[in-house]
Amino acid sequence: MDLVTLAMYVGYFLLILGTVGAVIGPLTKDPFKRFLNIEVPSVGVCLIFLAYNQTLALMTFLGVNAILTLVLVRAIIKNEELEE
Amino acid sequence: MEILPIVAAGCCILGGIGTIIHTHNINKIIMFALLESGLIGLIASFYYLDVAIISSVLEPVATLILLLGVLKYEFIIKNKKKYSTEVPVLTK
Repeated sequence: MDLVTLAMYVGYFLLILGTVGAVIGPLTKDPFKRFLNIEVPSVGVCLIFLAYNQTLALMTFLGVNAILTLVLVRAIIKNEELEE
Repeated sequence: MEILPIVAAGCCILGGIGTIIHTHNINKIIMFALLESGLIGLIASFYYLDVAIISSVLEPVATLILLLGVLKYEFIIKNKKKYSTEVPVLTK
């Protein structure tokens, strides 16, 4: 199997698996666990960018993902503090 | 075909399945670190070394944020269970 084909298949597999896991995964009433399941399809999107040679998009997506992690973890903790 | 992309793809698949099916938060974060290390190996096997530098700087930052966040989250959950709103708390 070619390298590009391998990266593309692994990327699509992670995208589908992560989406199904985030929607009907185990114990997703907890918002933190649902957010950790959301991180799996983002890695799948990174692998698809890699397979189609979109280097600039891959770099930007990795940078934005780290900032998004910071913001969403802060928001989940603040939500848990504020509701009764 | 070389051995690095095969090992990295195996890391990615095992990390993805493990992140979905584990139920404890710390175990999910550990499997997520395995998934992202597979991503770095697959980027390096494409010879995109500048992207690999950025990825390997940003991935521990995200793991650190997640670990500090999960510690605070579990602390809040435990405190809310201990002092719930059905008990009259006077210092509110």
